[in-house]
Amino acid sequence: MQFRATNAIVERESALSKTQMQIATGRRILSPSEDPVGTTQVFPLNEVIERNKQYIKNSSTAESRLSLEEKTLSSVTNLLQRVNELAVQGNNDTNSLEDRNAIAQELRQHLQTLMGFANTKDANGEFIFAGHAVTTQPFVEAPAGTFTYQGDNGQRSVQIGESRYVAVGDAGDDVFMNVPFSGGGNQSIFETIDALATDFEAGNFSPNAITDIHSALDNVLTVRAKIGARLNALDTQKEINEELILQSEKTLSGIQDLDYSEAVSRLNLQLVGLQASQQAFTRIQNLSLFNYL
Amino acid sequence: MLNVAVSGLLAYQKALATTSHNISNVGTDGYSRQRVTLSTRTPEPAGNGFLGKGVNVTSVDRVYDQFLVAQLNNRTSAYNQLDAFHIMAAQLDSALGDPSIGLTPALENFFNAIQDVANDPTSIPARQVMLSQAESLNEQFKHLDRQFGDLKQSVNIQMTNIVTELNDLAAAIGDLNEDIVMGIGATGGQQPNDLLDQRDVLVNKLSEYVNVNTVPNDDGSINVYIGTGQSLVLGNQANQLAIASNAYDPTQKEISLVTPGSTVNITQQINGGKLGGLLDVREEVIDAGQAALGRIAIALSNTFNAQHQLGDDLNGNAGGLFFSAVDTTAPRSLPSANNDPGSGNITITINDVSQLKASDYRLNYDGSSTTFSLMRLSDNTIVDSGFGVGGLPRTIANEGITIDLTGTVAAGDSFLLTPTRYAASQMDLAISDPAAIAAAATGNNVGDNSNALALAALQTQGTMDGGTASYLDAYGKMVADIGIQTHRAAVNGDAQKALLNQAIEAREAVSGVNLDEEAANLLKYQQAYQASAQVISVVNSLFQTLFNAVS
Repeated sequence: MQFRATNAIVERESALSKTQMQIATGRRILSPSEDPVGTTQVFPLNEVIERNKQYIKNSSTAESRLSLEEKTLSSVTNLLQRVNELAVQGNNDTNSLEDRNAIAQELRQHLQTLMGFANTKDANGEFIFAGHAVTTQPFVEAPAGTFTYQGDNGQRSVQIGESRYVAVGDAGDDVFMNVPFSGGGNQSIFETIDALATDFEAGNFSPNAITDIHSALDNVLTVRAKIGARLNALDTQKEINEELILQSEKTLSGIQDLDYSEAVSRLNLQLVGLQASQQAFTRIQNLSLFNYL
Repeated sequence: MLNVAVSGLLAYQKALATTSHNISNVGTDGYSRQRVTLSTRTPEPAGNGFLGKGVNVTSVDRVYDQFLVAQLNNRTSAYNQLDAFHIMAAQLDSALGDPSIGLTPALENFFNAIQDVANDPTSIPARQVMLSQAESLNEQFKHLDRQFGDLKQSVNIQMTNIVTELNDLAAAIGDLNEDIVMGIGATGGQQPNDLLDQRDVLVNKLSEYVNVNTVPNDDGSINVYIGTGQSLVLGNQANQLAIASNAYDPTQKEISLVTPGSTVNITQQINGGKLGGLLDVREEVIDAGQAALGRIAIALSNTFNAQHQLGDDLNGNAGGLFFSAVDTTAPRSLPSANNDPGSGNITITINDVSQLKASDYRLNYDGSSTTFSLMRLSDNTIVDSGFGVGGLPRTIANEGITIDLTGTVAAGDSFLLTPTRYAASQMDLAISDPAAIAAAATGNNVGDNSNALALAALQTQGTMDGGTASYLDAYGKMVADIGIQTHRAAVNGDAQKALLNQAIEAREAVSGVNLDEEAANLLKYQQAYQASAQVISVVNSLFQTLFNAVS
């Protein structure tokens, strides 16, 4: 009788200590053996959450690179619009030779600025228009009037979703070099401006230059449209990732988190049970015929 | 008449003494309450009938049920087996499953660090972080592997202690057997109750450690058999157990039975009790778990290295090994100590990590058919057989390994093959220079991250189990397996605990001392004693009357 009473107390104490542990940690499953099936779900869910957090981090990296590219190309667009104005102005009959020289001078300055844009570096010191050759200055003018692209045509991607990758840049030759030329084939934007300036310096008209500058603008705008599409994709994917994290956390919480109200009421019940067992023990302990002898 | 009264006095004195003995031993482990059996003395014929001659104590017996005692021993042994299993398995269970210290966070951090390198492939800090995370991952592999090693060590130590304990118990039972035989002889067949109780207690203690069967002999001694019938005690002669080494792996301790003239390894025959539980948990959980962890280490290092070697590093050089090549250094064959001294050894090559199993193997060479047979130990299945020395090297279908022989092999040779067991302990980095991480595809400039992306993609690829499981899946399965085994031991242990408690109560109900009953007996015997004394006083007054009449 005493044996049974002690056993009951020990059992209730161990149940109580488990509930106490659950409340202290907030976890329903304290070790895999308590719910082996639940545990097999917990690992992949945790991994999905961690991985998607990383994808969101990757997205921010992608966003900052794409934003820098977009900002740079936005400046390039403005510059080309100004160059277009100058080309229209220079091709006007009313301009004198001096006027054209002045225009040519401004064009040469724009050309230098454009070279600066094309050789933009990011915060890590990488040339953003060099393809994979990020440590090599992509655009050089040597000798004067000859423009060479020293980068490659690589395009970096980062992973922003389970099976979704997004390009975080564009190779410089696609942006600045391979622009359709009115005279057939391709010509770089640098050469277009350089040729225009040279024509004006010589006092000549340069009627085809306007077509070429429009081609250049079109080319840059096409790249910018792609960048815009990628930035949109980043936003969409980020929402998907966040939703996935939320869903996984919810599922995970259902599997491993403690229902506090249930646990606290269970704790109370167990406390009452333990007290009852203890009282039963002391009562039984007092029962003896010897008390009456 | 005086004699009759004195016989009552003496009998109730013994009855009171026995009651008092019962009360004194109310707290003694394994004590069976005793009772006196009284019977009338042979009556004396008188002319008009038989006149009673008083009372005799025929025996002092213990109240006891052999069936309940055997049941108690069986259940003690069954419960302790599960309990020992559970205690060991639960240590692994909590170490592997903890979300903060298991392999999972280390794997996640490592692969996230690769993504960061992909985000910024020329950044030395990002590469440095990836190396540090790889080091943490390696440390985690080693740490978990040490848990297995520590548990194995603990099993060895416990086995040593248990063997000492078992030997002491066996010797004590042998001694008691001798005392009991002598006691019975000296009293002309009376049972030495307290010695019998003590022997029962020792046998029960024995059953905590190993499954026990007892067979009584005619002289009152018992024979004690353990496991599947290995004789530990025969009458007053106790055999000894000793610690032996596993024939393949000397670091693994086993049990042998030392009888006069022979020493036999009885590890395979041991079942039940703590010893049975320890042997079970070592084979089913510790060895199996270590092989499973090693398999993940091999799969990770092998597949990661293969992809890493497809890329170019920051200096434009072809990528080398990223992790140490544990797939080539870890597989080991342990030849049996009983092999022919001139025999060579087996070499194991891992040829397909996606087929690799989390198991050890035993390779036997049959002398008569001169062929090998290979048994997978996780499920004791023969996975390949019927090939001879000429068929080597042999690629074992669906197991991902190729075996070959160095030297010669002799009839009856046997080898324990452990393709994955030692891999987790050997996980290291093969590079220390962050620039040596091959993030770019071969031939591409340094800004390329496509090989880093390919490395990162390995995280979710089905690299294992025939292309169906990622590293994490395999780890999850391993943790779940250990969890299920721990869970089963806990649940069955609880059930056995309840059965054991029932057996203890059943034995108590029959043999235990009930103080109320003893109190009642005390009163009863005291009254009988007083009445006998009163009879003597009556006899005395009768004599007095007679004396007065004649004087």
